[in-house]
Amino acid sequence: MKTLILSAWLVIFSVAPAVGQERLIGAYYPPMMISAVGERKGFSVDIVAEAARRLGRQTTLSFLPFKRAMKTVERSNDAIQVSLFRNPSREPLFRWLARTHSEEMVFLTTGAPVDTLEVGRALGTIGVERGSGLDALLSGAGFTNLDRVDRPEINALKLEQGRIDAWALAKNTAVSTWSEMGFERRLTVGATLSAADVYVVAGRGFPEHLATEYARVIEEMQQDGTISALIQSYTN
Amino acid sequence: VADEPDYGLVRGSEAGFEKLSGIAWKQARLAVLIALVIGFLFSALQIFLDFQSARDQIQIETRNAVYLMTDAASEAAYRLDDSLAKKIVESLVQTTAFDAARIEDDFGDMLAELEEAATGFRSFASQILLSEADSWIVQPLYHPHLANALAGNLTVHVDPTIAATNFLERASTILLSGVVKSLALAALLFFVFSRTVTQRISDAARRLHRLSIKIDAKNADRSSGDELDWLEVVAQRAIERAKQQSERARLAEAALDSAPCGVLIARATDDFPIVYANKTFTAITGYAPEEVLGQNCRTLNRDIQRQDGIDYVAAALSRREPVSVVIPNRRKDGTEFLNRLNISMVRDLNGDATHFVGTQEDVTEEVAGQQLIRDTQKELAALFEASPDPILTVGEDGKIRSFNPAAERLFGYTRNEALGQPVELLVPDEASDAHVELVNGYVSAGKSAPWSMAKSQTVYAQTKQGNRVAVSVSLAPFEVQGRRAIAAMVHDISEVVSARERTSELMADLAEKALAAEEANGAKSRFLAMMSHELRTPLNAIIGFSDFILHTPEQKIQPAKTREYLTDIHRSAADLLLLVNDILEVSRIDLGEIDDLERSEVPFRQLAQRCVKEFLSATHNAHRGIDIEDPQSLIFTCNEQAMVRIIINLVSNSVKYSPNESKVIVRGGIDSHSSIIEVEDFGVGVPDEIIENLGVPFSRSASPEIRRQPGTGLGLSIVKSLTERQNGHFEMLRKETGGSIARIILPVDGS
Repeated sequence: MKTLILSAWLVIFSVAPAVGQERLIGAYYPPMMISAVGERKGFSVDIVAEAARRLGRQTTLSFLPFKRAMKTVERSNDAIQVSLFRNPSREPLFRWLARTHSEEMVFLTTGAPVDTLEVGRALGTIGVERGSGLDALLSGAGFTNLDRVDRPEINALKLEQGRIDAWALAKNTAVSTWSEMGFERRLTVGATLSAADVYVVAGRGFPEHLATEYARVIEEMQQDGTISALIQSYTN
Repeated sequence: VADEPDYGLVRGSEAGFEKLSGIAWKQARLAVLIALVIGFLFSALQIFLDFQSARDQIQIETRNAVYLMTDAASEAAYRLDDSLAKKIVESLVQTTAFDAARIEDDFGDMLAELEEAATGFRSFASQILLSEADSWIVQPLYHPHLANALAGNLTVHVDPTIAATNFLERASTILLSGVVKSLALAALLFFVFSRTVTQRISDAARRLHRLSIKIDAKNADRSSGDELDWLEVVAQRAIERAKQQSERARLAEAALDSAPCGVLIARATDDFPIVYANKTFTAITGYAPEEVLGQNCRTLNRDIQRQDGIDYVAAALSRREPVSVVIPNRRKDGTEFLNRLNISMVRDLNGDATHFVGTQEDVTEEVAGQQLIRDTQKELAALFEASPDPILTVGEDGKIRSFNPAAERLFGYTRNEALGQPVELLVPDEASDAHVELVNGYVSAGKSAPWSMAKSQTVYAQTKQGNRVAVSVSLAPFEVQGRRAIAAMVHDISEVVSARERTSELMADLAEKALAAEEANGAKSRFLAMMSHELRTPLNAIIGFSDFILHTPEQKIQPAKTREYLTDIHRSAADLLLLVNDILEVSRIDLGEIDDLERSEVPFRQLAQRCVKEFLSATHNAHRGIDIEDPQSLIFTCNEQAMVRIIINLVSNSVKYSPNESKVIVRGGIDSHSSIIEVEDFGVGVPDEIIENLGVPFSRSASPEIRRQPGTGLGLSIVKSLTERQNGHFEMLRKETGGSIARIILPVDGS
């Protein structure tokens, strides 16, 4: 029965996309992915949209929850996730089209800065996004005081209310989220714990030639400073 | 009550209350049985309804739970949030209806799954209670952001085992609670039974018991079905008993009202309120019952100065003890009287005093009378001590109980010596036995009147020194406290007796002399009467015939006639001579001249022949019928002259009163110690008055046949006197065939 349902689902949703059209998938992760609508959609959305434009491709944009976004892209042949940290566990699941930039991973607090893992291990509770790169990093480092959530704004709210002692996240995302939520308290950014590269990814079934084209165009945009400009437009 | 048999439920007996316990236990068992049955029925109904409800409820719960979780599961599937999915399936499995749940995403991957499988009895029970078809529920998940696309599936497994187990647990709980409720209901029913039935029955029975009802429990058992029937019998008898007691109570109240003493009944509480007063109480005190009911008895004690007795009564009542006392009380009109008060207790079955019953008597006059009696007793005691005559009292046992100083003086015993001794101590030995019988007879006869022992004869008492003293004893019986006793008043009459004895002797002598004088006078009268005839007759014949001869002219004298006259004169003279001789003989006898008769042995035949010859000669009689019988050739001792005189007189009498030539027998005989001389004739016989007055001089019979013959009445008197002077005995016998026998009995030896 379950097999039958799954087969029907694959028949329905595995049809080939229309020519020259990709589905851009984003998950809320400011400032890289902010919204599917409005002017400020996030610089990663803007980068991939610019790349598609340069390739003459049509795109649609939809925001999904983070895991659904990754799984949709993973199981699709026409979907591109505009931003995803690259790590070994994700490596075999996607086709890594092109690197857009690097993000600094930090501890964020509302008081004294937490600059090292040792200091962070001694804290009471540290908010982290479930399944994120930091989750894997800190878990691997033996942290047992992690409070995992699915959305960054939840940890921002917990930090502002003092329900967690620190928040582990990409610095730009944390600052942007804190700013988007309008909290007045000053967010203290600790020293960089590690740096993670951010890629544009697609499913393993994504067409090879399109993947190559997107990698080439994005590389061009790195070279011509488009990406840097777009990033700065969100982070400055 | 005494005539009723004792059947078991009597005062103090527990047999009847065992019956009551039986009633209570029976009701308790009935209550428990009813409650258990009701409890089980209600429990079974509740379990059945719960089963029906459980089936529906399980379906409702499963649907509701799935519906409630659908949105959350959809969100988890949309977000691919395995954490949320895990929480959802945990929540589902923790609910009553599910033992397994899982959430899959629309990619066909499992987000979360949890299962708790049932085995054994729980699985078996689930198969019975719930069908397998209802066990799996698959709910497709949709999310608004996916439009009409499937977000995933929520699959739950309805756990009938858990439902069944829960149902069974509830059923067992219901059953257990049903038992508890049943027991509680039993307790409630028992309480209700106890309050509404058992307690009342017990109370009623206890009331019956207090009424001293005697119940025929055994017969009731045989005649009735159960304890209630038994109790009905008890109640019926109680009603009958109550009627009887009501009648007795009415009689008792009537009796109390008619009692000669006042009766008060007061409740034995602190203030002793009066609850009953009879009519005699009103008569004594002047208070009507309604005036004293509820009041304390102190109403009668107002303004009494002497409180000793009243305080004594109060103290006794406070100790719940009976009391008997005479105390001053005051009537309603203010006058004071002496009240003899006897108070007793009425107690309940526990022995606690519930009421006081007081009887009262106005003893004012009695107390005064008692004082008078005491004074009188003192006077009597003084009299007893000072009496000049001895006084003593003797109990029924014949022992002396009191002994006054005069008795000490007369009898010589001190009081201490006499008290307790038999009264025969004072009686001469020879009269002791008779005295005991006399006293016993007097006591046993229950005589109540005084009696004098010396009325008919002299009574002698004996002193300590052994002297005999003539006394007169007056006895007066009396009774003290049911014990009879005799008071003896003794008077020394020894001097009187001496004088009386002397007087008696004089009187006897006088009487004897008077009798002799009277006898002599009678004899003289009879002699004169006899002389007037017996002496005059021969003298008249002598004088007449001699005068005729003397005055007859000689020429006219006829020799033959003259001889005849002379013969008559001679015979008359001879008769006169015999008469004179008899008179002289009597005179000699009276003068005692022949008291000492000489006696000798005399042959009877010769003596008898001599007598007959002299008789015939003296009387010129030619009687040929006089026979002499001497078969034993008797020789006997006698005075011959006297014996001749006796036989001639007897033969003369027999010839005189017998027809001519009638036979006369002179007979002699002897027995072992007597000589017997008889003269038998066949004449007219001897009259009774002659036999009765045998030997009385000049007494003759009034019989005409006797009176026709001349006689002086001296012959038999002479015979008797002469016989007795020979120590013999003379008797006259009348024969039934006619005639008589004159018998002389003389001692053989003459002594």
